[in-house]
Amino acid sequence: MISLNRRSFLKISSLVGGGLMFFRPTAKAGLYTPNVKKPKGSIKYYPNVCSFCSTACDIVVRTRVNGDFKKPQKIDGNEKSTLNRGKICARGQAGIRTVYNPDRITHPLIRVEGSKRGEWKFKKATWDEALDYITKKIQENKIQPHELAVFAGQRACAYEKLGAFAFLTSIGSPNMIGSPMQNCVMAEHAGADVTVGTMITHDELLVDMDNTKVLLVMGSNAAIAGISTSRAVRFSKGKLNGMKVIALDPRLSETAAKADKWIPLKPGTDLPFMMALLRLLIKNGWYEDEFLRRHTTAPFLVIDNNGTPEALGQNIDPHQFPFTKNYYVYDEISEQIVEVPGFTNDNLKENPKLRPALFAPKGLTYQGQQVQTSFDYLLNAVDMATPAWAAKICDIPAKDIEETAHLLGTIRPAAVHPGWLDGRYISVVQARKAAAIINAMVGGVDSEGGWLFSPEDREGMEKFSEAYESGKLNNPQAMMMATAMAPGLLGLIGKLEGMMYSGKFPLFRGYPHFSRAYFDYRKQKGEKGIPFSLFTNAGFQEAVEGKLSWNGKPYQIKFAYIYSTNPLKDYFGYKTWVKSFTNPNLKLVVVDEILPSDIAAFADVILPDKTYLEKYSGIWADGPNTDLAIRTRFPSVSQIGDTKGGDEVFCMLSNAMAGKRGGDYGSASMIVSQFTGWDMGETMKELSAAWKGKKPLYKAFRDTALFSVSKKLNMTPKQLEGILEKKGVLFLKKKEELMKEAGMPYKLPVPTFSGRVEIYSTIFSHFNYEYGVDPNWNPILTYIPVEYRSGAKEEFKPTGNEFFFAFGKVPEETYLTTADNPLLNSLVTRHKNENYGFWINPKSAARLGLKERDNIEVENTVSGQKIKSFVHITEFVREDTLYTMSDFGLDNKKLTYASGKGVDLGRIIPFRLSPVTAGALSCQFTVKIRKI
Amino acid sequence: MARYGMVMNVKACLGCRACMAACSQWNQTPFWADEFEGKWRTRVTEVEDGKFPEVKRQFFPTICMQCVNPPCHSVCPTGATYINKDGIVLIDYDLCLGCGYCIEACPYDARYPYEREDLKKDAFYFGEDARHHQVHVDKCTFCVDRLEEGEEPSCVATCVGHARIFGDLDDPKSEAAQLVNSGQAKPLGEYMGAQPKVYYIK
Amino acid sequence: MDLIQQHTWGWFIAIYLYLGGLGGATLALGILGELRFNKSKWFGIGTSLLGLAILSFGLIWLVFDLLNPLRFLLSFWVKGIAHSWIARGMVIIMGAYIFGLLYAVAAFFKWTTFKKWIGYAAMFCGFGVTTYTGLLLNANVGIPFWHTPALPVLFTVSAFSTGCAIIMWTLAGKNDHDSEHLFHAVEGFDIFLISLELLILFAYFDFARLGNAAVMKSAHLLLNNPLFTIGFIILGLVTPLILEAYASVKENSKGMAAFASLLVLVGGFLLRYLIVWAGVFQYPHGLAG
Ligand SMILES: Nc1nc2c(c(=O)[nH]1)N[C@H]1C(S)=C(S)[C@@H](COP(=O)(O)OP(=O)(O)OC[C@H]3O[C@@H](n4cnc5c(=O)[nH]c(N)nc54)[C@H](O)[C@@H]3O)O[C@H]1N2
Ligand SMILES: Nc1nc2c(c(=O)[nH]1)N[C@H]1C(S)=C(S)[C@@H](COP(=O)(O)OP(=O)(O)OC[C@H]3O[C@@H](n4cnc5c(=O)[nH]c(N)nc54)[C@H](O)[C@@H]3O)O[C@H]1N2
Ligand code: SF4
Ligand code: SF4
Ligand code: SF4
Ligand code: SF4
Ligand code: SF4
Ligand SMILES: [Mo]
Repeated sequence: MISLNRRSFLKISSLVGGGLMFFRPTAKAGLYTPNVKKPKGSIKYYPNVCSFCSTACDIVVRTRVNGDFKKPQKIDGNEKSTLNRGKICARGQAGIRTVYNPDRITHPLIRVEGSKRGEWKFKKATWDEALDYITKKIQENKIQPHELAVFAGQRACAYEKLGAFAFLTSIGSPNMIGSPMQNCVMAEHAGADVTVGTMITHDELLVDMDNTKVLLVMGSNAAIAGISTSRAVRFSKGKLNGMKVIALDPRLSETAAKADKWIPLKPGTDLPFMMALLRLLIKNGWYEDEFLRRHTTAPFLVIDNNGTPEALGQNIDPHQFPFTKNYYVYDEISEQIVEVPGFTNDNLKENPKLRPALFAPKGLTYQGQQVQTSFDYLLNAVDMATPAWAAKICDIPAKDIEETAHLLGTIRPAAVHPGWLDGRYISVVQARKAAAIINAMVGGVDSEGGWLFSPEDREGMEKFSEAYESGKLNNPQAMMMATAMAPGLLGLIGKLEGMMYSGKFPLFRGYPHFSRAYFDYRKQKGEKGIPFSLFTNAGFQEAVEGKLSWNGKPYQIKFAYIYSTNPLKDYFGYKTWVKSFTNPNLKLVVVDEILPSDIAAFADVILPDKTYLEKYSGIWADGPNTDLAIRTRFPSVSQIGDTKGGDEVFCMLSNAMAGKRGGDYGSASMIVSQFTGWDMGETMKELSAAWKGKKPLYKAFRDTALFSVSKKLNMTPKQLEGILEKKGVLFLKKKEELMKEAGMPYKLPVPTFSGRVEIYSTIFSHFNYEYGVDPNWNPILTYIPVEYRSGAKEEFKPTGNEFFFAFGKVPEETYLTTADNPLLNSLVTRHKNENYGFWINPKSAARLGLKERDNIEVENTVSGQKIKSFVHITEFVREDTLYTMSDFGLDNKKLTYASGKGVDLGRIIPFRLSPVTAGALSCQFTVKIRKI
Repeated sequence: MARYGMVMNVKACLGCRACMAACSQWNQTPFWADEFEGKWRTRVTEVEDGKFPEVKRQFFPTICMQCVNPPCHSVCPTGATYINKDGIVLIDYDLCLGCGYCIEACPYDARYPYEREDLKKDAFYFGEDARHHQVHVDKCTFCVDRLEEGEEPSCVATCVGHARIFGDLDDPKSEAAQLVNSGQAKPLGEYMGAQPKVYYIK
Repeated sequence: MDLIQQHTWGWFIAIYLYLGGLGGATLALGILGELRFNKSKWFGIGTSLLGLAILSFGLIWLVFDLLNPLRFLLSFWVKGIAHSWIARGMVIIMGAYIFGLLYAVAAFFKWTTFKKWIGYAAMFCGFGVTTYTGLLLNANVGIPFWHTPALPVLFTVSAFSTGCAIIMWTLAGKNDHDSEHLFHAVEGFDIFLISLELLILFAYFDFARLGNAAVMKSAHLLLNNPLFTIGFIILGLVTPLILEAYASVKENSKGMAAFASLLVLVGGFLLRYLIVWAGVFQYPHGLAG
């Protein structure tokens, strides 16, 4: 097709040039010169999985291979992938620049004797020296398994989960802190998670935007266009297909910029907006009536219990799973109250002649108690939420709400997309619950254009519901094991309640996660526990300070292992964290890193990790892909320095903790094989090799997976590996087929405790018993007013130099992981004002006499924290709001590119725990600015 | 012989700048340069129009327009700038004086100098895989070397928003040709007479 | 429209443009003077060699401005002659060198007829060089302030005015009749050129006033720059015009005229530098940055 014809071109020009060829440059040949001396080797392509954000895109790495030597040349999206459709974002493109970042830590480092944590005084060490040091500290301080806390970041959560759990079980510690769990995936998603039973819109659920016709985006940007590639490609396709987008965001984000309508509501007012929508949808009958009657808990009859709704039949034993025998609905045909099964996908299944009422007749009673449907309750809850009421709080025109309701109510398919990263305000759990209810009302659950479940969830649900229906789950132990293996919330609650949080699980020697001990501590102070605080840091400070106990014995954390995360900045409240990590009670801090991050400075030992391009992996599902597919990693980089994979470190630390016996890889194998369904014998064999240092854990996982998965697919491990190496992703089933065969709730229950889409949440109701009644976990919906600071209630309008605060992610960066990537640093520095400063509306700037790039001091009116920064004046933000980017603010001087740039959220957002999920309440305050 | 061209759908561009990153990694362009706007073969510029809340935010991807009548070509004294038979405007690094005349002549800000400092950085970041060995003026090549391998240009291949549509404008079946022929996509700054082969949907 | 001031070319190119024009004009005027005013052969040889020397000195700046000065010789590989003004300029400059030197040789050996024809050819090349410096900028379609036919005219006139200044300097010390005669003729010519230059400038800015945003921006940049208004217009044009006009009606005023020429020389350079500096690109909206 194309022909440059360089040669003939040059020939002709040299003839024309004649003797002048003599003067041709002395420099080496250029890019398009045929005689360029190419480096040795040939080009090969290795599939891998991008690790820069939790989107986990399929990639292919163009690699120069010369014998054993491998050097990656370019990363592209895997064209065969239906997840990210051959595309990747700027961060994915920049991967090689992280692998070869000149700042990379390439040798173990031990803190110099006599220096303080945080000072960055380290000496180079060998792995043996580092391990000796760690072992010595463990022995000297007699560190027990539960005295170790593992901090794991997004990378660990999305890719090394298995290794991390194997590690914890092998030593018997329940103490996992997952940054994405606390601040993102799990966090305040609770409200929506409980509705469909799985973590929505993060890794388990994807919105089918290709087919959506109306999409309401609530406070989300990076998870869509700004950018999560798998969603961005769908968003774009949807837009090209005519999807109408309405975006709620106090600033004009990338996603809002692409929306048909941008509604710049006041920060923290999503709940009133959603409630007003709900009211309009219900009043106008703009909902999928049939769906709600059949597949949801909307028709469940509820009574009022202490001001909170409770379903008839709800299991009220706080120590049981919230499974129930029966629920009750009002049948419009027989005009009677009838029982429906406790766990099913369809209210009509056992009784097809039933017509469960969405609204109960006035004055309906059951055994003398006033009852109404959940839907009645919902309507009552939103009845006061008129557009005018909400418009006033949200500070937007009422017609914006009416128009949104009309679009959502009358056009199909419609869906709501709440963001991922949240925990900004106390009301967010109920706000997300409202969003999820709206999504269910417009029929957006597991339907074309709606929220689609992952194939893994379907498979798990298939197994679980079979077991459930077989009646085998009637003893508590069987139920616990079954739920532990179930998908979504069902499974998570099972795993956590049963294993990590109960304090009864033998593997953890009777110790629960330290958060559980912390709840007891709170109780003494008259505070409630935090029901959804799964894998969070709630209580870490107290545990380090020695304030906690369990069963009468002190419960202290003495050893922190920090794997690929940066609590100082990611978990907010910089000073609080510095205090913990410099506490002498903490005898050992080990950080596994690739870069001299801020937290690395607080380590006693820094262990250098391998990056994703340097590793193998087990065989994984294709992330949040709605098609059923498997994939794995192939390394494309030769050994860099003296690094070892974090997986290998898990085995080493496990052995170091266990002493002479060596880590208990038997228990680890059991957990791994139960999680994955891999062959137990093979898993044991491979993990044994890994624990004995004979092969890296990631390679052991690979070999185990190949062995077991290939069997299922009727091929040899070699064949499977060959296919995966060639294609990167092996597709087994299309989403259309899966939806037809295993639609949830159409064919299977959803992973909630009622098996239905829950307008009324069984698990929130359960929390009322376990932790006491609280509006924040109202099982249906209630209005939670936001208090920005004392005296600043929901209708507060800041004046003078006071502003609301909002933050969000930059398309070219990921949390604090990529700021030091030389390429990405250049991309964001190109528009540095926008990225490193505070966005302020021109009118507010004029009022305060501020010009572009004027320096300011920003003060948090609640916590008193102060930082220095500058202003970027833009029309893209509300007048009453100060907005900033969340991906900067690192200060370790060793970070050549990132150090000292941008705003450090950890220094303006205080450490606080929200009531339901131990999230951060990361914007619930106001700020005052002063020109400096 | 083909007549390669590109359509930029500004409406679809998400502003993610994956294209810039992709181009810089394939072509080893000086992403490290921090002068002015840096040195990129493709840029995505942000445009702010209007006042809050009636304000529009647009992302505007630009590259070399691969002009049919390229001023950069007419001013080049040595013939370093040439047009290949597929209509791609290229630079022969061996012949390039580095006079900067083409930089001044290009009405689309598509060119920049690859200086001595940049060569050092190229070697620093890419080691023996460095592809630039002499100073020269640089610009987008439509990734001819990828085309030769049968692949789309790097920026197009990764464009998340489907905002960059590459194709043979002479092939009526190509999406690019259809967008151009239907009149939906128009070149920028037509009055300057360079006759770009990159078209915009705004 | 997005307006961006060009930043690729600076001092070096300005010096080159200035000295190129100055050298070309000196060559042309010197030969003209020798041929038409029957000046001594040394005058002819001197001015033509001086012109070439100035030109060579100018070329050095061009070479230094290249990314790789060692590749300078490639510019003689005039593949671009069909369309590139640098390539064409190289040909003209080569012509100026060849004919200029031949003229000097002919003048030395008094090959009268040959000298005459060669002289005309050299004059043509010298004239060409002055015009070329304007055409060089003129070819940049993206910079509307440069992309106007008035620019080569302005540069040519300015070049000749500075050329006159050089000639006047070479003649200033001589008191013979021919020299006096030529001096005054050049002085008169210069008055004419400066007036013309003022007129062109006026037209140029008047055109800018009605022009597009980029042209207006360039004009604005210049009019707000004291180097331009005071330095170039007042000191580089108006003052020498008045001084020369005054000198032309007064006896023994060569000193004054010579001083005026000095101002013209400085003004000529300022003009090149400032015009280059004030080049503003007019990019389609959204493209720049
Ligand atoms: N300030 C701030 N805090 C946030 C967010 C934010 O945007 N800004 N986002 C929130 C969200 S949504 C999430 S999901 C979490 C994510 O939280 P984390 O996953 O904890 O994110 P990072 O801060 O990027 O921490 C990653 C650390 O791992 C290091 N690292 C990178 N690659 C590797 C590797 O291959 N191996 C090892 N061992 N280390 C590696 C990086 O250098 C970095 O210091 O953060 C939450 N907290
Ligand atoms: N580029 C990039 N992409 C990423 C990531 C990344 O780090 N960088 N991380 C990935 C991960 S782990 C996550 S969790 C997701 C996060 O993706 P999202 O959840 O979409 O997070 P943000 O980009 O922070 O988007 C939050 C938006 O909400 C707006 N906002 C702030 N306060 C309020 C409010 O009170 N109400 C409303 N309605 N809006 C508000 C902010 O202005 C911002 O535009 O992104 C994923 N994709
Ligand atoms: S969205 Fe970008 S950073 Fe995230 S996994 Fe995909 S390519 Fe990597
Ligand atoms: S810089 Fe190179 S390509 Fe550009 S005009 Fe000069 S010689 Fe030609
Ligand atoms: S855009 Fe500029 S560099 Fe590209 S062909 Fe046209 S004139 Fe030449
Ligand atoms: S076509 Fe190739 S060279 Fe041109 S901008 Fe795109 S990636 Fe860069
Ligand atoms: S990759 Fe595509 S969507 Fe992203 S900024 Fe570039 S042109 Fe726009
Ligand atoms: Mo996240």
